[in-house]
Amino acid sequence: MNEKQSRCKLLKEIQIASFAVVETNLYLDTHPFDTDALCALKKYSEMSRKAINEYESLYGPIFAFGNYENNGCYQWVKDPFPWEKED
Amino acid sequence: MWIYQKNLQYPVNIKNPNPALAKVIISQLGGPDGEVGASMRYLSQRFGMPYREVTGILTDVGTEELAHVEIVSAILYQLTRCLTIDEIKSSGFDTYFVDHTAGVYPQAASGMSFTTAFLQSKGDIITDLNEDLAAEQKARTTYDNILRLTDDPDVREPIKFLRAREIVHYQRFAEALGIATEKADCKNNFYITNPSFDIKCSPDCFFGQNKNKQMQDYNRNSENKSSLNSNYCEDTMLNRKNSLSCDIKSKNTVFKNENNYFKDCKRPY
Repeated sequence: MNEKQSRCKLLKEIQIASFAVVETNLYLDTHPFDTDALCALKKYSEMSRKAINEYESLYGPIFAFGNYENNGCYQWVKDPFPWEKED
Repeated sequence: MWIYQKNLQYPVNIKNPNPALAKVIISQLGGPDGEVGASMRYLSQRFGMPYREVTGILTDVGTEELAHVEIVSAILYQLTRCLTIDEIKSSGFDTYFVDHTAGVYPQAASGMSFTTAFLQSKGDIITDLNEDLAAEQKARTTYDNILRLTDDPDVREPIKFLRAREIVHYQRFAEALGIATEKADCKNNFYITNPSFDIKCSPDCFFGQNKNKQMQDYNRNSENKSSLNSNYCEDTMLNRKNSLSCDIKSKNTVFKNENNYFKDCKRPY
C-alpha cells in the first residue's frame, strides 16, 4: 500500500467512526436512557478519537481546535481541504 | 461554539465535471429546502426550547446540517472544475457563471438566492417541530428528484447518503415532538400553553375548581401585556400550591365532558 492509499484508508476509518458517533449521539438525544446506545457511543467515540490521533500523528491536523502544528510547522494550511480532489 | 473537523462527513470524489447537473444540485445548498436553510432553521429554533432533549436534537441535527452544506458544496465544486467556455455556454451554466464564475453560492436551481424566508423560527415548540418534520421530507423529495436526474455513481452515492440522513432526522424530530407533547405539562391537551413562552405556567390549573376565577384573572392581566406572563404564572403557581386546581378528580371530570374540553382548549393569550 502506498502512502496515498494508507492515508485514504485511515481517513475512511475516521469518517466511519465519526458517522457512528453522530448517529448514536442523535439517537441518544431522544432516547437518553438507552444504556446499549450509551455503550455504543463510548465505543465509537473511542474508535473515532483513536483514528484521528493516528491520522494526525502521520499526516497532520484534522481536528481544528488548537491542533495545527506538526513537526514544528504550522501544518493547517499546508494540507489539502477536504473538497479538493487529489488527482 | 463549533470546532471544524477537516474531513467531509461522506467522501466526494467526482471524476466527470457536469455543470448542468451542478445547476440543479445547487438547490440543495441554497434552495427552499436546502442545507443552509436547514442548519439555520434548527440552530435558530433551539433557543426557545423548554426541554433539553429537543434543544439537544436541534443543536446536533443543526450541526450535522453544516456538514451537509459542506458535502453539497464539495459536489458543486467538483462538478464545475476545469470548464471551458464552450462547455459553460453549451451546458447552460453561463447564466450562473456570469454572476459567480465557478464560485459556490447558496441559491436555488431557479436562480433565486438563499433567503431566510425559506425557514421559520416560530417560538412555539409544537409549530417549530412540525416545520422541522416537513423540512426533512421536503429535502428528501428534492434528493429523490436529483437522483432521477443523474446516473453518475460518483454523484449518486453522496446524494443517497444525504437523502438517508433526511429520513433519520425526520425520525428523531418525530420522537422529539412526542417527548415535547408528553412533557407539555398537560397530558390531555398540549395546546393550552406554549411551553416555549409561558414559562412555569401549569395548564393543569385551567381544569381545576378555580378555572373561572383564573380565566378572569388572566383576562384582567392580559390588559397589561407587559405583565402578562409573570402575573399569569404567579397566579397559576400559587393556585397549584394550594392544590385546589390540580385536583385529579376535577380534572378528569372536565376531560370526560368533550364540550368542556374543547371549550377550554384555548391558549391563554
